[in-house]
Amino acid sequence: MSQGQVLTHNEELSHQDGSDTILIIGGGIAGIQAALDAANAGAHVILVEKNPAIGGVMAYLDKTFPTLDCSICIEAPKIGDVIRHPNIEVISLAEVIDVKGGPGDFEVTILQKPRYVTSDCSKCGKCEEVCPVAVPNPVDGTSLRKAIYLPYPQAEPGWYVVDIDNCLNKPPGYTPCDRCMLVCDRRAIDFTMTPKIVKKRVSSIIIATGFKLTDAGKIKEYKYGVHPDVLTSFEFDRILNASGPTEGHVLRPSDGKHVDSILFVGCAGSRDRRYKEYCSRICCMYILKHTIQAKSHGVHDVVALFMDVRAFGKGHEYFYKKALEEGVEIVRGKLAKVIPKNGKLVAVYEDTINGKIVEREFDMIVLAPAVEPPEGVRGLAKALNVELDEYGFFKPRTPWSPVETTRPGIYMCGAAPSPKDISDSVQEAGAAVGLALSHVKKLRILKEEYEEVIKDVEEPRIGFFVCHCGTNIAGVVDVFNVRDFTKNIPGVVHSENLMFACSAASVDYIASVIREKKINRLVVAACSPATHLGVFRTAAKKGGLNPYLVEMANIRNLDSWVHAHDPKEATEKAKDFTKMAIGRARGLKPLKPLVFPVVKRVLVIGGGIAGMKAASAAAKAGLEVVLVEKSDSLGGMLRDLYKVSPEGYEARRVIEEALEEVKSSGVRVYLNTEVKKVEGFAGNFKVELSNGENLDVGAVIIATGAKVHAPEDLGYGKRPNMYTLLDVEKLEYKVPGDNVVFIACVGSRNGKRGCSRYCCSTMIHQALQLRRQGKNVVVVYKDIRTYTPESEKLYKEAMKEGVVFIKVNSVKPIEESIVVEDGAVVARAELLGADVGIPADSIVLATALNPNPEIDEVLLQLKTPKDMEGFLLEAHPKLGPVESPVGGVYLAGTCQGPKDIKESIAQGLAAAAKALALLSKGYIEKEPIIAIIDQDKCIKCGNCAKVCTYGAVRGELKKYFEVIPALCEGCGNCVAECPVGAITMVGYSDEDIIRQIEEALSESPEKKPIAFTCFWCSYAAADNAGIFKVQYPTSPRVIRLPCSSRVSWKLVKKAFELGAPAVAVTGCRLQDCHYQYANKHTVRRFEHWKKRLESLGVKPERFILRLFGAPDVPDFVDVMNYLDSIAKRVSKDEIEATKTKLKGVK
Amino acid sequence: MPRLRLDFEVRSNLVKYSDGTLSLCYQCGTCTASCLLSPNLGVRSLMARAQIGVVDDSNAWKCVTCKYCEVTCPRGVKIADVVRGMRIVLYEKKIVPERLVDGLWRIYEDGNPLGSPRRERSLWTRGLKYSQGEAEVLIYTCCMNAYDRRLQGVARSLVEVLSKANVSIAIASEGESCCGDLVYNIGEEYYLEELASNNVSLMEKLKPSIILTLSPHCYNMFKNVYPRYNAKPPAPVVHYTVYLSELIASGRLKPGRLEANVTYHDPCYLGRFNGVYEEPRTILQHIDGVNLVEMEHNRENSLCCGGGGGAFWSENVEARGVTRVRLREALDTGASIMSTACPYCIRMFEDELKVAKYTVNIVDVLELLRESLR
Repeated sequence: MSQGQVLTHNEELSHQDGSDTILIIGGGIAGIQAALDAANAGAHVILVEKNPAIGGVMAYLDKTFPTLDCSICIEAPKIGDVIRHPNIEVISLAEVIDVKGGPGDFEVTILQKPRYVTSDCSKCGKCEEVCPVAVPNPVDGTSLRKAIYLPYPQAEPGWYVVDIDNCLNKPPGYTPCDRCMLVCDRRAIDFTMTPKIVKKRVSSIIIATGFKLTDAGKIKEYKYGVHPDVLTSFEFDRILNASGPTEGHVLRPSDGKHVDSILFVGCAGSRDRRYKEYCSRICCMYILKHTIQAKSHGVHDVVALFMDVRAFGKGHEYFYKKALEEGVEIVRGKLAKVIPKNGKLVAVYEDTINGKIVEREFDMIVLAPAVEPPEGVRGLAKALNVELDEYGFFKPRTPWSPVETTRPGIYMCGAAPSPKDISDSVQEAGAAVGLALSHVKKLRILKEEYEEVIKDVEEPRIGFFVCHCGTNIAGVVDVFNVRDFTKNIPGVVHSENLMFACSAASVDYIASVIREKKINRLVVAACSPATHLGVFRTAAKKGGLNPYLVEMANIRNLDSWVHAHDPKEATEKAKDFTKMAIGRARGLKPLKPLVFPVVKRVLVIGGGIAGMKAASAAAKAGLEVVLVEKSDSLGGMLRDLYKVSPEGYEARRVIEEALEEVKSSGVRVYLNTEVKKVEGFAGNFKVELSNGENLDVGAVIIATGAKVHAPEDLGYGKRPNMYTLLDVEKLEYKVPGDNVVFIACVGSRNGKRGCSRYCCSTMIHQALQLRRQGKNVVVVYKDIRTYTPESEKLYKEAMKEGVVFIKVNSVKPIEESIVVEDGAVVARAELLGADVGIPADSIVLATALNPNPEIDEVLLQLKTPKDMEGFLLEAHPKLGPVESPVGGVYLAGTCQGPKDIKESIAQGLAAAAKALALLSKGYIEKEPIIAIIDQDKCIKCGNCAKVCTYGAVRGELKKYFEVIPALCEGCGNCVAECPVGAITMVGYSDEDIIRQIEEALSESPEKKPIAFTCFWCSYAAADNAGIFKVQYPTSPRVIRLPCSSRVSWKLVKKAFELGAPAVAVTGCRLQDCHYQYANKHTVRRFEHWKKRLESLGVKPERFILRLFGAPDVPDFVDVMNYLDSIAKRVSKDEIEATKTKLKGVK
Repeated sequence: MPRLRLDFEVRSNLVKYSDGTLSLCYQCGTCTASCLLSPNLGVRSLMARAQIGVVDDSNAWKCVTCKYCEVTCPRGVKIADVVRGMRIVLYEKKIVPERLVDGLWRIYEDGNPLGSPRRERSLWTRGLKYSQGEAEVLIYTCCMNAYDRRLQGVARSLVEVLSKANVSIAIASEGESCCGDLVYNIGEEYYLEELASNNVSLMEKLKPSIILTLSPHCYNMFKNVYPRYNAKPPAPVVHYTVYLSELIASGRLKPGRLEANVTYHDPCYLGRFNGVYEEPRTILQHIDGVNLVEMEHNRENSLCCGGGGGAFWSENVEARGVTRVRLREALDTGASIMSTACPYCIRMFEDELKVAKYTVNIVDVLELLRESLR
């Protein structure tokens, strides 16, 4: 949805009959990902969100586990992609109230509540200032917000919204208050809006309704809601966040004092007969996250109460260790009660490992309440005519269906079927799309077309507009002065003021000026390009100008809003920003999105359940699929299973269903076949099979599974009656003897490997089966990790029926806690403080799933990297669990990490959706801003290939190196690395950026420090500083780059050479990099340059590197303050000395 | 480290005594941390040992079986029943506090744990009108009410109040034997079965239509325990608070006037064991002039007097602390009277008051009711 300015489409909208449309209910991260996957594959998407903005819970979190990514930093680009996607229509403040029809043709009735603010809103925030009603912010419970508000700074749809329940007006009949309307320059507030009924026809539906936290106040003895210092985990996330109520300082709500001690409480309502019987799955990990964050926020005593630490996901075990290393006290126990005492909170619990009762004072207690379905789910289920399970979550069609509801054509993902973390939600979103796409008749991307009438673009004819933004800009900056100033700049042929440059009328006007005056560079001094570049690109297109010839100067968020009290300097800064923008515009070139044809064929390697599901889903949705399997039959490890836990259905049933799907969808299956060779890149791979056949494929799905660990040290293979879980499956649960002991975590969680995830549930299932045969069954375990509702239920059932569970140390390898004797196992039972002798006729080892080394060669050819445990690495642990970092290569099933059947199926389906998104259109379209190597200048050193995090540079040492356009993402990392300046990037070439530096420093350079910013984090933080109206010194000049890794020595040198008093390089935190850790090179280079500058006598204080995220406004402001202080301190002589010294340097 | 051996047979017996709930315990320690006797009684630890069939811990005798820990148990484990199961095993192993054994002998010999002569059992009824045959209600006197001078007044109050409401009364007098609460809590299974059967035979002779108990412990035994030992009482068993509140509701009994600030202590065996929370309060609220104030812990969360599960008889020192805490809560309400509806509770509190010297009066709900009617 491109903010209402849709141009003529390349074909009639054919989605009126809904045959190409998918409805997605819920705009949290699962819904967002589903919308993007479906739309990228060419479906038309209607995304219905109940709240005023999409983003869900993730938009409010501070960081995500286990990588401590800044949550909004990684989500905001996805939110932006949704809003700008031509195939996606977002309907906010809306709920689905009725559904008729069936798969392929549903008729959906949507009720949309009025927002009372129109799309004319420019987010200036004046309404918020004058609104007389302040209510507690429901997000954090402590801060206040007005009755007209913006849900969060990066919210989309990005207009304000009236909280009509709290507004003084009760439209339509009663509207006594008009304060907001009076200050709104754009007349965007409209109390005559009424609820709307929207009818849509769609081919399929995806439910992504998410979750909410149970009311923690129900647990009376925990005093939530009674004492202000008892918080929920979500409230604590807000406290940690720089945009939260305490600006990221951990302060006690009761008295605002710094917190020295916190107790984090797991299972506050989960796994508890009184509240929720199931495990909420996400809490253990976010508690660990919170403990680590609390430590880094200066909280001295950090204690966390767990029963089992359920760190079962990829990389989670290391996160658990990290928390321990940081000095977090992890106690096994459950909070019994909280007693407020002398302004502190006394927590009472038993440390169950030593049996001591603890009564300890804390400044703050943070509860992890149970996850439960959100309000309205019952009504929605009724409208959709789908079933819910006993806990109120959406019920699956079969126990092995991760994303199918009980009704054909309606799918679900994320927390809709059960509690789930972000990466599992994202994976399921893809899986739901993988199935939903099969109902879509025609896949294509809607395209805006325009006629490029302005052909002569070599010699710049610049059209300049300066926006008043009502009084937002004009109230501070002398906009007429700015306009007149540009009239003298060479090449500027038009300069004009506009009250609101982004209004529909202004856009049309700008277009007419472009046409009339043959403008070939459009420069608009207004607000942030992050939000408005699209608008002016539309204006350019309407005027017949190539949209890549547009540039903006951000004189609102980066100037008028943050220098409100210094109109003179703000005006000077606006002029500098304008000059810089014009300078950059000169170098812009007309571009077209890059289009690459692709082969609409997918290769699936591995015929286990993940591969089978991936193959049939991709084939059903219209791709040609080749599935190769090394063995003589499909089904993989599932063939060796008898029954599948936790539900206990027969494995055979899953294989039979999958075989039928593979057959009916027309997948080409090659048994007894392996991939011999593969090369190429996304869209075009050349494959040679062991049967001699050569294939061209557009995408590769790797589904090669894992291997069951065969332990030697416990005597497996030598001792009689010792089995693995897999052996027991093969034996169909016929194990000798009356006494059977299961030993968990054999080969897992031992320092080398993390949790194998599948085993707890499988082990308990088998234990129960044997118990039901009348045997005495004992399970020796470290932590029981039954993280799904069904498996937790199984665990309870097994206990109830008499399986005995004996816990040993949670951290040490299991071998250190047990001794296997003849006819007995002795376990060091922590909860008994004793060694327990357990009679054992048979011993079953729950052994790890290990990486499968058999396809290493293929992986090497594809350059698909592995993680530290040897499983295949995903593109991003949170938001890219299905993609390999290598374009066009997708991961399905246990090759990426241990998984159960359902999870493997989900990833298989999701991989299909990704392949469809890549290939279904028949071409790949990409932003054309990519690196280009000048072959004449290139010295064939290959440094560019070494640093590229996408493998987008290919070549041979001393022979040639070239960028593969299909793979380049345009970070500019290679440009900065090139020792001879042979690489350029349109709009971000050295010349382009140097021109900006020159313009910035053309007058009084000694007063103007330079800040290089990364578009995704530090520039976004600068934008947010504006939104929050945080005032800082005017002196620094900000230069926007795609990534901090684009900063090169040449640019740094130039800035100092031209007399800049100080230079700051700013970017994302290392793990938040938008370009797969490209900014680790920034850090490396920075250290090098710093030394170099020092050797040239430049004081280290004049050159700094700061890494922070988009919400970290205080960090950005710190940088601004710092640069200003240095500028004031550095002497003229010093600057001159630097200039001289640098002159001779390369 | 000590070495224990997993005993499936003992485990399975203990699981049975707890209606299968013992096996659900996931060892969170909420019980230990909420236990009123903490830190002297490691409840979770007991459960952990029970789960592997190890019963060697005399801590099981310390438990006052108040079920306070069960309220917040996330798994619904019947902890008090597990403890009793352990006591059965301990009794078989002859690991029993001496005082409890004494009590057991007294019941065996004299029909009451106080060791008073059987012929003195009906002394308390002197001057009262009642029958030894058919009547509207059969009052089954608790040994405490029958012999203890202080508590005899409570029993007499019941007769007095019922007479006011014109309810015909039967009392078994000397024929009665102890309900067996102590026998049950010691875990003497065989004798309990005999005792129950004898008592039920006596009841049957009197052909009651309602069996009224004074003590929540007798109430619990007749109502919940006897049927499990093949001794089902011949008529509905009702605690007097329930019966009187019904009389008040039907208009047959009209409480009088009495000016007092009163708080009410829920006896564990009446409240948590049998869910009777509101009826005693209803009676109090119907007495004109009574201002009922609640303690911090009330109803399901009520604290214990420290006398249950045989603790009254074993002179369980740790349990005295529990008594003291409860008294202090009563004082905190500002009430001058702490009422309750259990003979053990009254004696526990009054005994502790002798040491603590708090200014609060301990009375039975019945006594207040009778007073209001005078």
